Amino acid sequence: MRVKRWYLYLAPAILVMVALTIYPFVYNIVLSTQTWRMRGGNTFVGLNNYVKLLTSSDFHHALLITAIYLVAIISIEVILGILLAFLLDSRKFFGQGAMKALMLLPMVMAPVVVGLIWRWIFNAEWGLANALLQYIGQDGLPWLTTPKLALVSVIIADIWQWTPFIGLIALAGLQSIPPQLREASRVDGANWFQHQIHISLPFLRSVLWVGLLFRLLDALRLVDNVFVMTYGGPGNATTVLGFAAYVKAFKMWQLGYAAAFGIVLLFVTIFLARIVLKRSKIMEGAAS
Amino acid sequence: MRTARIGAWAGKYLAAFLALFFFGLPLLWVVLTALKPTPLITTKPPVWFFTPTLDHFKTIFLDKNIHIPLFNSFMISLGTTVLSLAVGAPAAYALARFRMKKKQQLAFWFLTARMTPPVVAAIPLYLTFRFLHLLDTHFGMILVYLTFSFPFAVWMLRGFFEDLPLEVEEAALIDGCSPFRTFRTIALPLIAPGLAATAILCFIFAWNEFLFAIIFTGYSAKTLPVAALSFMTDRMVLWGELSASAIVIFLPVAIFAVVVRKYLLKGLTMGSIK
Repeated sequence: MRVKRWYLYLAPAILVMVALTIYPFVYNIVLSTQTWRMRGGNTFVGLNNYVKLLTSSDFHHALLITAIYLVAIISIEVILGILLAFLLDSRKFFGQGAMKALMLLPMVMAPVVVGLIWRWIFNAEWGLANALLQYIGQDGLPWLTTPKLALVSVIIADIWQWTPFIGLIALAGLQSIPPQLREASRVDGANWFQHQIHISLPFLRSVLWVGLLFRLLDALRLVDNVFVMTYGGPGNATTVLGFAAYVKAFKMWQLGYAAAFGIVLLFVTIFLARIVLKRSKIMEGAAS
Repeated sequence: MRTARIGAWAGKYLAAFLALFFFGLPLLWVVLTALKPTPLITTKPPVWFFTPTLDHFKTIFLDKNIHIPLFNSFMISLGTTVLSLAVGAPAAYALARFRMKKKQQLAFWFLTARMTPPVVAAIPLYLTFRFLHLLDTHFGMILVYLTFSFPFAVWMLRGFFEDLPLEVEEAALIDGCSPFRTFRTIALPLIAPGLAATAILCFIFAWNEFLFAIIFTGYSAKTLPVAALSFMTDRMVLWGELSASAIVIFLPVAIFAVVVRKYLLKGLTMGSIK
């Protein structure tokens, strides 16, 4: 419809968006070319912060940890999520409804709460994880205090929280399969595996891209879980990019450097998100 | 054929059991810890049967005054939600219905806010708020939370408005109803369920938020997730109190999640899954 004073509807919103997105972005760019001082009197250092960041071994390490984290959670969550969707989509069984309700819970849980629960589970002395290991006659493991296991622990917490999300997304995909197609594959004598691989998986492609996109975005912003479970440690074994930027900014107060970190992180995010959007053809137009 | 069917049946129940075990046990574990008497929390092997107690809940409310951060969290989440919807709804309607140039680009601007790492918003807003004395205030926190809540609300509501059939609004316009009245008395009531779902999701996101809260609040606007962490110090961790506060944080959200279950995936994927 044509409306003369359309700007009245949009002006407050645009004002809010300028104040909360454009203003911080520009401020960040300016700050990233300075060395910030608590008592004022910043000095201009050009692109020095960027050079320092991109050549620092801390940054490379955080990049590596984030890459491992991303590959691990996405591959495991997609596989388990698909299996979960098959289970929830299968012929009705006892407890199916309760299970669907249970699956709604982890994804709305505050990441801090998820972190707390899993920190308690992975407690070396009284945690549930080691108790279960002892029930089956194994020794307990130092989950959160050895570098490799700490990363594994944080990844397990992510898998717990987000596999149901991927599962329910995949379930939505499965339920979009026309019933005739299911019928046809049964009549043609396809067994369960053949049916899932040739009929179901193609229907899951676009929804799984959506899940992948959002897991990617969240993993690049990740701070809370790591903050609560390991505080980036032991050493820097679980210091992902988001957490590293937080520490530089609000623990070390190197705000100029952290601003450059934020800008780089933003461009990494946009770059990866564009690849996913282009490849997947979801949210048409969003990639431009 | 018969053995194959039994195999399939057993496989299904085994998978269901494993899923229930992995996804359910952590929840059970935290509930049990919250209800355990303190001496039984640190036992090896863990105790599964005991007389439940509400001591930890009493401690966090009576001794640790958790009702103050509870109130802060509630006010901040509510303020964020109301502002997001009040300013967002007219904008969403304009983006869904009005003819204007560059509408698509404008709409995607709201979507891209979802991609911004929090630290990019946190540093400039922190320095600005320090200057304006907005640190550690409810109003300051509401402004910070608008960075994610507001674009989300606009994007979601735009989707709901677009899904409405155009005919009703057109009929109203032809009958001489002004565009604003059409928006307020016809379109807005028609998307009431979507509006409610968006409101609940905005509330949940603000309620759960932690990173901004720990940066921007210290004492007087401290929110629930930050307060919960104070039960964890270098010297000792009060697992009973922590579990009880985890439940206080999670219980309202769990109820909300069941209420908006139809819209949950839509909300978490910015509308790309119906």
